[in-house]
Amino acid sequence: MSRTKKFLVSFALLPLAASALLAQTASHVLTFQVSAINQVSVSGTPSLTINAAVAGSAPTTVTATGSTYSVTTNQSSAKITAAIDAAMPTGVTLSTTLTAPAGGTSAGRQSLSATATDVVTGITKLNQAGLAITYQLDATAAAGVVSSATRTVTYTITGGT
Amino acid sequence: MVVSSAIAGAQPTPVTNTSSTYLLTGTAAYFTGLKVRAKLLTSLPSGVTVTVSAAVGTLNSSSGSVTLTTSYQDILTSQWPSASAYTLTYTLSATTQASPMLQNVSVQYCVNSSNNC
Repeated sequence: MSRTKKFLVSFALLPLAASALLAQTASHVLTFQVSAINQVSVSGTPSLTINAAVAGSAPTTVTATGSTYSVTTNQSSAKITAAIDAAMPTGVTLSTTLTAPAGGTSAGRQSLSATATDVVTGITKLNQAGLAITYQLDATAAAGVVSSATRTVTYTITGGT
Repeated sequence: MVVSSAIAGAQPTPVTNTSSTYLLTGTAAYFTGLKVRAKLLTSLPSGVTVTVSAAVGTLNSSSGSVTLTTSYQDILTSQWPSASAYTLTYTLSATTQASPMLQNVSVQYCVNSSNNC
């Protein structure tokens, strides 16, 4: 992908008198390219357990903070989508909320499924790290007891223009 | 040179090209006090930077990594002719503010005993 050229620049001085030395020039033509760059990464090991309820209400929702993401883009109007690798059990909902980087827009809390959904849009020409991710787990009483399970949440940044 | 990657959260990763060389030829008597200077013939796009560093032999002195502008800057001083070619190292950097692009820019080198080139 890298385009390189080999140059040989020769600065040859003519045997002129020292007092009359003339400048000699030579030129290089540099070809340079900046490609579209869109990168996102996440950190943290979130874990959520629903184990309580107020009598008469649905099981108590739990949240997990402490996860973060970092983003770099040199394009305009890039967006981040999120999806999980397998459907959640019936009656159980996993959601994610991403804090928007400067100038971007968070979609707020979004329920996760195997279909990618926008979580941050309008990301334009920035690099920012340590942005918060909050996960939320909800369950209905009808979900019953659900054994411990894992889901992989995949965040994808899509370049804009 | 192509800037094409970044660590998420960081600026794009600079790239370096070491495939260029220069060769100084001539009569030794005329090299005393000479300089090699360099400048860009046109401005770079916003957010893009090119630096050059010239490797040197034992009798020459390099200015190290120099950020090129449209004004001449010293690249080498105390020149002495050499039978060997030395490496010119170019580094291309771009911030996230630099839009994707493909362009050329000319770098002009000048050999002179004063700063008037």
